[in-house]
Amino acid sequence: MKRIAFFLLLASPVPGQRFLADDPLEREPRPRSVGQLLNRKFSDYYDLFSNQFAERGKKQPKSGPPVRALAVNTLGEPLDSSWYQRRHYYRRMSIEELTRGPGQRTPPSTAGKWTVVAAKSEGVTPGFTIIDSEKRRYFVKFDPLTNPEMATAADSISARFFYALGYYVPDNYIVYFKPDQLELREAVEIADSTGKTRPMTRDDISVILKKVPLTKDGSYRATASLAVEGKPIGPPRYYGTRKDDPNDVVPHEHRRDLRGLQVFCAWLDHDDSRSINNLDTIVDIDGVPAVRHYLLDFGSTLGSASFRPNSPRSGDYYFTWKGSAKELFTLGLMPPYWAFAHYPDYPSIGRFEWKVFNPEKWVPEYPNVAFSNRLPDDEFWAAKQVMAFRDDEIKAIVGVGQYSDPKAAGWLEECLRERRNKIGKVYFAKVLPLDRFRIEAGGLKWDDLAKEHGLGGVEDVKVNWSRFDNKANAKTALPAAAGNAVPNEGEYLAADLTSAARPKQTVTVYVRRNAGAVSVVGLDRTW
Amino acid sequence: MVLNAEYRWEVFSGLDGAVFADAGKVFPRRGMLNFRDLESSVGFGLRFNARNVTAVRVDVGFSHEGFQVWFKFNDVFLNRRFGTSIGQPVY
Repeated sequence: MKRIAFFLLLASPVPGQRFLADDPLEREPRPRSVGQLLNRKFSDYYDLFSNQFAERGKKQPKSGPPVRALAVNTLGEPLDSSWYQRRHYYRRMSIEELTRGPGQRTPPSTAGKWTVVAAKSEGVTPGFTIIDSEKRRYFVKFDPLTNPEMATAADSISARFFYALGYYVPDNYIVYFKPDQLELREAVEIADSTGKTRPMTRDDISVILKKVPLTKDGSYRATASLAVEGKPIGPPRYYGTRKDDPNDVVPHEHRRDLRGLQVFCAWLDHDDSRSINNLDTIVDIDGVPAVRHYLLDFGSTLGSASFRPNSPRSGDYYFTWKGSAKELFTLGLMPPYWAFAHYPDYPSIGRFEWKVFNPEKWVPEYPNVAFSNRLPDDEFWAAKQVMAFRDDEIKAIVGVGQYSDPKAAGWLEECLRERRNKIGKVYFAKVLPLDRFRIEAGGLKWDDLAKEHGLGGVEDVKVNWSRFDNKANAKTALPAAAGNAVPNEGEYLAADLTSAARPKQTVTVYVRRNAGAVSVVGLDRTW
Repeated sequence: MVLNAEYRWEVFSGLDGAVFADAGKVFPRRGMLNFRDLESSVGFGLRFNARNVTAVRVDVGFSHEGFQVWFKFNDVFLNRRFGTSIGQPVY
């Protein structure tokens, strides 16, 4: 026991110590085994009302320093984990990788029949669960009669974007099939409008297909979403932790990958970004069963609300006390910003635009504490990833939607480009938009992302060096050292980057000298 | 004969506010079908909506006879912004 305690003492950091030898970490350590977790059901209405009217999770304090994002390394980057993987911004994906998304090009096989094993005829989005001849399970979802191509395109396109942005998503394919492609497995049950179940018949398939659009050649267009890997255990929440998951130790409302998700959702108009549209599954990670967190349903993005065009009020909460009182007592004569949006008539898009879009005002349908806890550095982290999509990459991903109307596809591309640019303009202005810090030829180098994307850049960045005491977490200024060259002083150094044009915004870059090599080990941003 | 005019606006998703004016009369002969001697009322109300259909409305109407509160489970205009109320239940 004494020996164990001795080694624990050796392994633990000295109080106040800022960096450990293995910083900056790139990925989370091997998870602990979760064993068998039970599937946790979650009421959509409970989620709505509890987030709308009760306080969920820990909000940012009303006074004092805000809670900075957690689940990040010393550079402020989320670690590769079961929530998030660094992808397009960090390692440019090819057009082929971007359009492929998470899958291995495994749409349902048409070599044999698709066996319907479950179906939903009631509700707003009818659909099937099928198993193809390769024994793979897919969820088949359709467009509404009024808006052919809308939801299926949105589901496939947004899955690619969210994948490239770093999230785990299902493998979605647009498929075309004729009714004789489907066969019904025996003993499949279907619920009627009262919720009562009965054996499903071939007629039920016909009834469902009558509710969805038919293409000119007599086939049906659908999204086939490959069932995600692992055993489902229910949706993750945007706050707190899952108590029975020993690896879930960071409150979700403070995770950078969930705070920053707000910016991605704003870009793609994913206002339906609620818990029930996510899913946890148990998968094998590094040889142990652990939980992976998926974003699932993207049918309500890019102007679609799955069963109809998105509401014109998309980007605003269903309800706020202040906003509702204002509307009530002004008789609607002071309309909210979204009421000024004009939408071109593209049934395959729904309602999507960029002129009125304001990334700062955009919110999902009801409050989400992770989103509302975001800070300028969370927004910058997300904005730099959004800005990483070039025009040709956006065009290629929109192509995944297989729109029959090129003007509709063109409008969607325009909206995504312009919304992206607004996001960059707004969030690159809130912190110094400097990133990718590195040491080259003995000097500190970085990329000015605003300049890189034609948004102006930061003028006259000054560098002031300090010696950094890693154990005491304290800086001692080196007045003689200025400029990019790394001073030959001590093991750790800190470089404070400032610009007279943005006096409140600074970046402090921590540098470590180790066995002759100098590397960037940490980053702090202020605003 | 009943004439209804209503100005409606969204308070929040699921609730509309409304102000309205009504006029009408009951007449025994076809020759009295005109706009003279109409009884009128004005009022305000709330409309609770689900999926763009009014599920419940609460109206408070005022006239020279006093005021009345109405709870109804339909839409005055059958979900049309402008139009007649043909087919509406008789009050």
